[in-house]
Amino acid sequence: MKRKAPSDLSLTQSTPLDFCDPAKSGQKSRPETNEFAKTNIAMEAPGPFDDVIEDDYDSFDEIFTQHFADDGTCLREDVRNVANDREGARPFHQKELPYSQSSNTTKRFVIPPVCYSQPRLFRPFNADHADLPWAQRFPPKDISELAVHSRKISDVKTWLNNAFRGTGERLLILRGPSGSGKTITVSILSETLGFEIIEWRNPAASDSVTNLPNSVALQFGDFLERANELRGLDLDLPSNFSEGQRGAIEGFSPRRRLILIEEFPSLITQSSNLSLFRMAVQRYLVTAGSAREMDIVPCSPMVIIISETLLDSCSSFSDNITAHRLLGPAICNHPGTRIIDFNSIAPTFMFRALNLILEKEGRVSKSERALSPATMRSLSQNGDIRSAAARLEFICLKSSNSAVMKKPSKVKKASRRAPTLTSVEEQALGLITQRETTLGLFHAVGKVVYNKRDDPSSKKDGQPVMPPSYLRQYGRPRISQVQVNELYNETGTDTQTFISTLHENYVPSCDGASFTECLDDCISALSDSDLLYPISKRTNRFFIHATRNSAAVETLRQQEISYQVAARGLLFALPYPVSRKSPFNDGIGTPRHSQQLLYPTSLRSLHIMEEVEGLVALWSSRLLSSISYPAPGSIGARNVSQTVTATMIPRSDLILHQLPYMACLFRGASEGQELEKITKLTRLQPQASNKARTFFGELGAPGANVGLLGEIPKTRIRGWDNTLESHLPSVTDERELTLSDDEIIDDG
Amino acid sequence: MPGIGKTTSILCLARQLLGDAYKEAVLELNASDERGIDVVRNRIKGFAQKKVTLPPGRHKIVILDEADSMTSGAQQALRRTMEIYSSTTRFAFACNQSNKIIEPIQSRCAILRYARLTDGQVVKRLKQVCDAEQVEHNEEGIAALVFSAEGDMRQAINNLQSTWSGFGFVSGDNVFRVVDSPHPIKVQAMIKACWEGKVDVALDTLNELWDLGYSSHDIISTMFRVTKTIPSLSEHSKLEFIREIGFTHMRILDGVQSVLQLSGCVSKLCKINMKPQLFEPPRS
Repeated sequence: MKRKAPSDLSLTQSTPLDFCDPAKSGQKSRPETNEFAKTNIAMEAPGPFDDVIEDDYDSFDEIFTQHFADDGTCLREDVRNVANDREGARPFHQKELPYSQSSNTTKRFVIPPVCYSQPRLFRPFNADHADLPWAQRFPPKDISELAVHSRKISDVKTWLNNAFRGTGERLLILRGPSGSGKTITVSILSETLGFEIIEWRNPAASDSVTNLPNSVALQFGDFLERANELRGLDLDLPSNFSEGQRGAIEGFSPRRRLILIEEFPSLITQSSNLSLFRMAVQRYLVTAGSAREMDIVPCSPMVIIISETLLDSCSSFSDNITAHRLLGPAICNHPGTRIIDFNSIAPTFMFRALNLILEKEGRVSKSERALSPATMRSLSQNGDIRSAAARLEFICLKSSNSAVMKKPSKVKKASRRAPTLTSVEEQALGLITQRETTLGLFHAVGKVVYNKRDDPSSKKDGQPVMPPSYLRQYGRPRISQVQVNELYNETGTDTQTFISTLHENYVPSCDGASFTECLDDCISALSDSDLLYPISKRTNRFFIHATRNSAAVETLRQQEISYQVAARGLLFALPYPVSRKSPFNDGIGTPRHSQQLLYPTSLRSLHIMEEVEGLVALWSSRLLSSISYPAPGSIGARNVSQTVTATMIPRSDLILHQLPYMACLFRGASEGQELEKITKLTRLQPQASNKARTFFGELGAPGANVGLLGEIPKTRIRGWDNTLESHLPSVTDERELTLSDDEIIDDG
Repeated sequence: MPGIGKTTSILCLARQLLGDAYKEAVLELNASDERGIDVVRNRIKGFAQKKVTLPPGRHKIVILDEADSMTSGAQQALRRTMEIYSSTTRFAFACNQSNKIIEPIQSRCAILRYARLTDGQVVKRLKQVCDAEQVEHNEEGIAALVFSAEGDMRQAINNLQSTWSGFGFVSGDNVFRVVDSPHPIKVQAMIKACWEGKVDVALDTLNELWDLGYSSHDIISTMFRVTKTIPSLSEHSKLEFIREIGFTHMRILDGVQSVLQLSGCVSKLCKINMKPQLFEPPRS
């Protein structure tokens, strides 16, 4: 095959037009696309053709590039790419790896393998993916190498098995912090269980220019429908290729398929698109359910992967996609939906995984890299395996003697390291391992709440300035070791999170003879600081659509002032030798560990608050809608929805009167769980450790709308009273109850 | 933190790594370039797919400067691109606040934190520039540049240049004339007067500054900066000073930019360290 000149634009533009007719597109477009792959230009000319075509065009484009970028031999290794790879017929390609050129090019629907073996000009021809970052270069090969907890894996596995058997499981939501192995679990399971992955990808071209802005969302709906209903072309050929993602279904029809959504239709931040997206998913759920009942074909289950983070107090929707913000309560609580939370990876697992990576790397580069266990252990603390691998690579780079950054395969012989954590290593670690909202935050908070001060006798440079004699009580003879001005740059998070973390953690430090005075001073400093904070004054409590002020210099300075007041105020007010002692325990009998630093409760409960809010809204709309809510298998449902014909229910009435009764009626049904989430009293689980990582694991118990202490509305139904009692936490410690609703009024 | 060499160092590295191929193999996008989703999809992807002949072991580099100003939609679109083309293309982000970078991208990156430059580093570079350009200067001028720049090298050098071309000599006074902020020595004197309880002196200084035409924003912000670094305050008064200044700052931000607010602030500062008995009404 001849090579095209790289600037052959006319060809690339003409190519997509051939896709217009899907029936023959596969045949017609083959030669052109081939050449297109060689031209290697990605000028996505926004043409007159509609988005469908661009869509196809892009998908080809990407597939080609990917193969082009991949070495044949490493395809097998690069498990990650399985997920990325939209053409599910990969196994066939693998068989084809020797690339018998002539035999294949004659067949239609087959990408002539010549495009795999095209020599790369810009990097040495290497059997291995030497250019990939380590995280992608040495992925786990099977379940045993996966660093995810085995129970999570088996959870996902059982779910998938059930779904393929057609037990009504339709939608699996995997959520967890990024780098916790969500995607790779699915892709590895796809190999062991033998199913194909069909993945949605956003079209590349700028359809917002040529089309309606919501076309992406519409396309997504289309994609789901087709992926669900249509079968792949049943062709008796070694490798099948369908024309792009719209009908991105390949392989033989008996093969099981899975729809994977990791990338969300991009314009999702607009509410219209969001609702379109939700509707598409809902439609999928409904059709899938009905298809099952009519016993047609077992349709493909869907997996949505969401990287969640701790909600930041000021983060807006687009910054922080959570399952509930994205999908809404109706989908999240659909009976066919299952949410599996992935925790961040535990240090022991991570340690093993990192060693494995090193080992694999050593095998490839034929050198031994001995990193000290101390280094490895500190790398393992982070919980994000992808970035941990990146850091590992970085440190290994640093350990080489070369001044210039070289790629890992080049530095292999240089490094043989000392087993101790040298100062260089420490420095490198310090530079590299700092990640937002992890270590920096607690480090900084710890500095403040421990209030270390210099011994005046050992002080060299001068005595601290003392206030005049009549203000003797304000004198602090020992100079604080905390450099407040410098600390501001080290907090590693936004100011508000820092201050609220201070607020969460200062109380145990106040312990001592003058506990009350300390507490008083501290809290007054913190409240002043809260008052001074520029944003908190103006936004409401549910920050979803909080308009962020432009980062004007003044606002930044105001934040800094707020920080200074909080930090200096605490430092000033805390007693000097801080002996942290927790004045209460968390109600389960184990005294809370006094050394621990905790995440602010507000941030933790924000998450739950949003969920419950969504549920309440969902139920109020259900109750108000004239169409009776179909509750399969429940007689009570019809009665309730018919009797309630009000046009508007006050929120408090809804929460305090209707929903508790309904929870009783629905107990046992799937809706009952939703209702229990709203009406049941639970307490926020105590934090198990000072790491953010445990956060997702702890959200198991849902928060609740809680009345004030002991003033929970007593309903006059008998049987229900009991359940209420039993739900009540045995310890009525006010700290344990989340008060997520202001509007709840005591009706007793 | 601006002006601490993030972009400069990545550009230097790219140049050193790629040498002659720099022009072809580096795509730099700034906040001034449009970086919506479309650009990420088309331009960055196009660049990632482009073939460039490079020496072995080198990669194309995409430099996204001020990445925290990218919309999160664009960042979401980027994360897949980063993964697919990671064999040929490396990505470098420079940003001021890394919490504005979405978590999935942070997870795909090694994060290097640049600390704010120390005053010594700024001084060293300023001296270098002065020597190279034969700028006449005195120590006071350099100190003033360092103070006004707050660790921002770019601003320090810019101020140096404008002072030099404007006045021909870099002295403290000239620098503050160029920077056009209240002279910190004046403000320092004012704060000191407050600490000593001399209301009249402090108010006189304030009026002097006001009459020079500085806005209340300028004055209050310089007051804050001076207060937080001044060594001659006790811990208690520093805290209380900052608190008072904070409240006044807030009022000024809310639009009350009168000299009355500033005077009130200064008077309150004075009161903090005065004998509390002075304020008790005499017993009749």
